[in-house]
Amino acid sequence: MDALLSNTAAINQLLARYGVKFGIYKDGQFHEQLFPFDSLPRVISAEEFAELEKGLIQRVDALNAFLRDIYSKKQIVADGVIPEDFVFSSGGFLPACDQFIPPAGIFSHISGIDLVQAKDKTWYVLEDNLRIPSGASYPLIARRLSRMASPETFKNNAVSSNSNYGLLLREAMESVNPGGKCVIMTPGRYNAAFFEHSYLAEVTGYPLVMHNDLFVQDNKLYFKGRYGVQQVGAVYRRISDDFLDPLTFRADSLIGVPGIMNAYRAGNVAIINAPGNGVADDKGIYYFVPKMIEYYLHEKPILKNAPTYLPFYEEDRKYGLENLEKLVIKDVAEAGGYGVLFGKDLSAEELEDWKVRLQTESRRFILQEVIDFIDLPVLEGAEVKDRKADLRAFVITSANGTKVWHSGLTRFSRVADSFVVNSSQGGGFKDTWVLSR
Amino acid sequence: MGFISIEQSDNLFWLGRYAERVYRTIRCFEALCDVMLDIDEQAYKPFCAALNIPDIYKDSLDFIDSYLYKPQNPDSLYSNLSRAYDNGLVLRNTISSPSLSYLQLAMNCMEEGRRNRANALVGRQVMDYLLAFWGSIDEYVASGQERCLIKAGRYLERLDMQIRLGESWESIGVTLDKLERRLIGAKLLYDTNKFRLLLNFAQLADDDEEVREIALENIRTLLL
Repeated sequence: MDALLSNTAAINQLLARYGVKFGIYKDGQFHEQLFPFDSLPRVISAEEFAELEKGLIQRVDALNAFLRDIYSKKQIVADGVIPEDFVFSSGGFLPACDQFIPPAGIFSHISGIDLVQAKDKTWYVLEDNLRIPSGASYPLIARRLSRMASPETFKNNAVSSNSNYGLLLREAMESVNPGGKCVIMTPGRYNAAFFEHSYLAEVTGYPLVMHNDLFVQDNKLYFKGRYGVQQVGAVYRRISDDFLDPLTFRADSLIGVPGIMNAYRAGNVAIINAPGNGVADDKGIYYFVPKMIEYYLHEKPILKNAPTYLPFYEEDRKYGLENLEKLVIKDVAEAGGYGVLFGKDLSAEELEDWKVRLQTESRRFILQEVIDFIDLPVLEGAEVKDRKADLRAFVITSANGTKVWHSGLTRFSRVADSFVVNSSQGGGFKDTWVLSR
Repeated sequence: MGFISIEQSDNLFWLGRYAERVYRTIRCFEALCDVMLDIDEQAYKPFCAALNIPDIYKDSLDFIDSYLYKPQNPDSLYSNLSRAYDNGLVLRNTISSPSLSYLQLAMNCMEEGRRNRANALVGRQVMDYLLAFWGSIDEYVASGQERCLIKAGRYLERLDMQIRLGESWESIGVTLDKLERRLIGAKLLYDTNKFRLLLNFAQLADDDEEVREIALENIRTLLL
């Protein structure tokens, strides 16, 4: 392990050389930033991961069942398990997707589940990301470099290989492909996750395309290449639903493919992930995921949600208003670490303002207990410091079943005691080692 | 094969052109620096005229600094390398991460040279990385058509610079042979009459300035 740690700077140099960056917009300007890598890995034992794996598969299967239901019979609403306010008023529910089930009944092919581990070792799910979750490419490329930096570390530790991510992605895409080529679609190089798009295109061997490379004719999607036209059967897209098709969603979208939704609804192309998934990873819906598991799978949830309160419900609201100073307030419409406020950081006056707001905008916010999640050791120069870290696990669903990638993106805060680990807020990342025995 | 978009094929072609422009310029830059230091301080002026770039420089030192590193100067090597990099960045899956990494290294080098005012010193390293880049293209770009596209750009740019900088017709003839193979391999449409005229010039080796002007015009309008 010492050889690996002593090569941290060299690995970071190589990551810079390979263009491992993410983009952020600040003051309307695009900036590319390196994503600092800490070679001290997060290690998860085989037994612990086996339990996590079961829980993740269960959760994603339930979320896919929910999406199938909500875009067809809507039975879970009819049965009163989830109030309709949380479904149909969600910006993620797309009427254009109603009454259509995508190939193999899969909506979320790639799911990014954000977890934290409390000090008593219990794992809690903080967020489900079912709309184009990114981040797998970072541990994927960092592992390759780490193995080169210190082969003996990997020889002496039974670390599960993570090199199969491209194959898992291919399996997911090919298994739902009704006929034609598979492509990776990117909004372009000024997208925050452009490195990931281009790297996934490389590891899957699929072409990286942009909106203007694709067109729809007779409800079929085609790629117009330099050497001819070919039908496209599956699109792994990195573009928000709103911008996907100007004929169906935002008419002012310049980065969508006109008519792609018609091709999708005609069953001629699979869109990965399916449009409309936003209704299932809304922070308000998160509260109901354990109920979904019981409702659809008739099983007890294996993974826990962070204790969450919905101001929408009177009892939860009462508790929230009485305990706001020790809770976290989350705006359901925000992501990427934005829209998160800690009650303990608010002044008395701000707390009073928030109490009013939570009553008038009860659907917009959720309240959560602060989970004192574990610190992981992080290298800072020659020193080791404890920093908060989370884990994004990647769950891939194909027609052959749901699988968990035996790796994941561990993000850590670079500020002492900060719970905000997002890369866009200055965090770094670690490899996640899942031990094979 | 054949699954390359029109935009990406443009990116490949222009990546080849810009990478070659930077490489060829650095190759002659050292000699130009020597001339400016030892013989003629104003030697950059005919160089600018030959390349048809505006002479916006106060003196030879300003030329060395601005022409190498200034991002605001659209003709600088920095700007040309940035364009090569921009074209390469969207081609990772076509040219491979290792090939792209050599462009990144060349770019890092240029950035560092700019920060440290390393003057012409950095050119050697940039040249090394560009040579490694071309080797990597041969190694990793599996598709013949894609390789031909990037090399068609490369040899077209080389041809243009060779004629502008007064290189021998013999070496221009060699480049023409390479270019023709790549144009055919990439299935790029070109004016065969103009190409034949260029071959004739190379065979006749007439070093008249007017011949070079006609040759340049033919190159400019060669692709259909």
